[in-house]
Formats: sequence, C-alpha cells, structure tokens
Amino acid sequence: MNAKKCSRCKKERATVKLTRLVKGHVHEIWLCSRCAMRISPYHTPQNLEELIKGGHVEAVLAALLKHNEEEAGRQSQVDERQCPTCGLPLRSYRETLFLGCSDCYEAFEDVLIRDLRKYHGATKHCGRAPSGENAEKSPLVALEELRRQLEVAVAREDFELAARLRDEIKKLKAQIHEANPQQSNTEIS
Amino acid sequence: MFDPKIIESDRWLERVGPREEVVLSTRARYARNFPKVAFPRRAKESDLRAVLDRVAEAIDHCAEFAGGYRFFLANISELGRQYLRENHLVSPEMEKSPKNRGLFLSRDIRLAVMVNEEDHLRMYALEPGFRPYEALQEVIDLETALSKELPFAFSPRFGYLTSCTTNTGTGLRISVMLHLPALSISRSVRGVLDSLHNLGMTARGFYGENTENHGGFFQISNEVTLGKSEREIVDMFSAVAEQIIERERQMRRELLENNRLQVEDQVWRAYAILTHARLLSTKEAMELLALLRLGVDAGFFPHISHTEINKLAVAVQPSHIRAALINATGDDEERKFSDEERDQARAALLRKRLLSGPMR
Repeated sequence: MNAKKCSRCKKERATVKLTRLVKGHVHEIWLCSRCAMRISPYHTPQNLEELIKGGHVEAVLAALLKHNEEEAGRQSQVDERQCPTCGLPLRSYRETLFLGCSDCYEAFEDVLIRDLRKYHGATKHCGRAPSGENAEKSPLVALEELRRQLEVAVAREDFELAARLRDEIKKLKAQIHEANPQQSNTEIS
Repeated sequence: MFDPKIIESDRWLERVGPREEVVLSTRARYARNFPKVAFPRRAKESDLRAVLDRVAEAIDHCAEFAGGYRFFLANISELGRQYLRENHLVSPEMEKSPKNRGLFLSRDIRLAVMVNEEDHLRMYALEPGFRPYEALQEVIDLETALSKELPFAFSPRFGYLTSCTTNTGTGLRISVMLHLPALSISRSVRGVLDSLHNLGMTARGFYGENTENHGGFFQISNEVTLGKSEREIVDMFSAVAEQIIERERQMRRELLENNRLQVEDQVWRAYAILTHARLLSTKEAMELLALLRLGVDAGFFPHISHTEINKLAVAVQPSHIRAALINATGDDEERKFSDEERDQARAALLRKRLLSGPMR
C-alpha cells in the first residue's frame, strides 16, 4: 500500500484525516499527527508530543490540564443556554432529546438544525401548513425542492433537466440573497 | 362490573380492510402542540389541566366526535387503562401516569385524540387492513377540523413543533401492523426489517417500542417527518410496505409449495391446542393464533376470519382476560386473579370462540 504523505509538511506519513465542510463541499486533508495537532481545533494541546519526547512530565500535565479547562470552558458556555420561555437548559435537551416548549426551537435553533439534519436528512418543512401560512411557497422550501429535483435528474442522467434546474436554483438563491442577505449567509451554502 | 364503554373500544377491530391476510391495521398520526405552552413532559399540572379542558371543548364542537367517547384517564381504573393500552388506544406512559391525560374516540372508533402524551395532542386515524392514503386523508381532515378551534405551534422553517425533534415538521407517523409468519419462519425477517432504517423507516413489536414479539407481528412506520410532504412520506411508506407484503406473500406461497405437509401439521397442531387446552399463557396463545392466522390465509379454516383472529389476539391479552373474568364473576375491578385462573379463562375463551362456528 502506498503510504500517504502529510499534506502540510509533505514529509511525515499522514495518519490523521481531517474532514471539513467548506461551502457545502466536503474537503479531506491528510496530515501527520504533529501537523494535525497544530491546525485542528479538536486536537490535543500543542507541543504535547515534543514535551512527552523530552520527558518533561510536569509540563505535560500542565498542558493537559490547560487543555481540559479550555474544553470544559467551551462546553459550559454552550450548556448555560436556556429557553427564555420555559427555562429548559440546552443541556437537558442534549440528554433527553426532548424540548420544553415551542419557543425552544428558536432558542436552540443552531443545535436543532444539526440534529434535524441527522434524523431527517433535511432541515426545512415541506408539508402542510396552517391555512394562511403556506410553507409550500416559501422560497427556501422551493429551493430545497429544486435541489431534490436536481439530485433526481442527476441520478437519472437527465443532464438537460439538471442544467435547467441548476439555473433555476441560481436564480432563486440570488432572489433570496437580495431579500434577506443575513439569513442567506447562514442557511444557504 | 367493568366499564362497558371501555369494552366498546374493542369495536375498532371489527372492520375489514384490504390485504388483511398480511396487514392487520393502518394508522396515521399527527403530533400537535399549543404555542408557548410547556410540552407535557415539562408542563405544570395546571397547564396540563388547561390543555385537556381546551381540547375537550374543541372536540365538543367537532362533528366527527358526536356521540363518541371521552376518557379522562385519571378517572379510569388501572385495569381500564391497561385495557385501552392493549387496544392500542393509549400509550404505556399514559397508562402509568394518567393525571390530566385524556383520550377521545369518535363513535365508530375510526378517529382518536390522545391528550398530553408526549405532545399536547396526538390525533389518529385508525383503519383496518392496508389503507395508508385513506388514513392520511382522515387524519388531515381531523387536524383541519381541530385547527379551526385550536392554535397549533408552527414555524415556516421547521413546520409543526413537537416535543421530540424526531417528530418535527409534518408530525406525521404512518404505520401498519403486519403479520409476517412466513418471513419469520424463514428467518429473513430481521434482514428485511433492519434494512428499513436506510429508507427512513423503522420496525417495532406488537405493542410498540421495545416490546416482545410473539408470532411474527410487526409494526412498521416512517421515521423521517421533516423535509418531505405528507404525500411524499406516505408514497415512500406505501411503496416499502407493499414490497414487504409481497415478500411475505411470496414466502407463504413457497412455504406451501415446498413444505405443505409440515405447514399443515403445525397449523392443525396449533388449532388442536387452541381448541382443547385448559391452560394457555398470553405468549403461547399469541404464537398459536399466529400459526392459525397463517392457516386461515391458506384456506384451512373457512369458518374463521382474519378479523376474528385479530380480535382474539387482543382478547387474550392479560387485562382483557381480567376484565372478562370480572364481568363473568360480577366482582369489582380491584379483584386480582392468579396466573392460573387467567390462563384457564384464556383457554376457555379460545375454545368457546373457535369452536362456536360451523366445523368442517
């Protein structure tokens, strides 16, 4: 088997695969463990490997502790969030998967979007709506619908249709962006 | 005496539907909640009470429920609640903690509304046999009627907002109760049911999640509720369910072609035990009834209908037997019976019901 070289230092053998989502595309980067430590936010403290090699036990422990504290700080920052209406802590949702009230959806939107994608493979409602609120006509829903059609067209190798759908998607995206630039930044990739 | 109104809830098992040899029943469910009111798990008792009263009032105005049934579960005995659970009309959670929880049934037991289960409202359309589109239309009509009286929490992005994120969006769960004895015997049932997950669907036992399964009864339902319209969900569900039904029928044909004598032997043995045993546990009765059901489909028992077996599968459940014993002895509902007394009553019930028709 051909051993991959680290794509950063180009010297060491790559042992870590870092996957990133950039503009809706999955990017895979192969790194050696040292480079991975340097650039990945999820990796163990910097220089730990060198410290271990150097036998500096106290420094290793200190680095680990600091790392753990930082991690804990990051966690508690998220955990402290509560729904302003029912007071449900986000932590409780994470433990049980049960929300406290309808307003929790707004309070924890970012977390819920991830979970909804995981369970349903989608994050936008396409079904019936209360009379007067027609979800079918929302441009975001229409966009989702077009994307689905595009997937089908590509799968069927109907490239003529796919090209037409791609143009429609482009047009719709531009419209949404015009109407609500902030929202489109976070929701449309 | 056991509440006759609760016994009347058995009637939903009496109707006959298409593909009954494989499909016992179809149900469509919508989950709905009031906006800004804590979901049941987190609500104060006073909130739950207010929700229950509000729904009860709305249902009073709903023509579909004219002459129907209303059960405030806290006013019903433990036995009554178990009985409703065995009829698949309340959940185990509602059976165990009945306070401020309610069940409303239309007169023909075609429609049901559970109040303060996991969500404030869970509306059901119950259909015999394989009728996913009919069930969907009925539950949509029910929801439309109730939405004129009640506000439902909705967001244009996420759709209908539910207590658990696994129901968000349409809040729709479409399910069928299947009898898959041939797939079970051939041991291919696990593979078929495990593959459902990849299609956004799931399989459970006769009494829902984590329940034991006797005799090859399975409930399958959609898991995905968001990002697809109701119609798309039901289209997908129906297509997969039909494939499973067809696989089961194919397996039954093969089983009868290749092993007819063995199948006949097993089925007639089951019939012999069911019509002659003096003691039968729930588990044994269910397994034997499942074999008998296979025999009914193969045409061995022209005097027994699928519907009769569906009814028996529920009638042999522990609380149904206890209720029957209480009515027979005239005792009060608190009366407990030993396992042996119940097993004896179960065997007697099966003998009576299966031998009452004309014999071949």
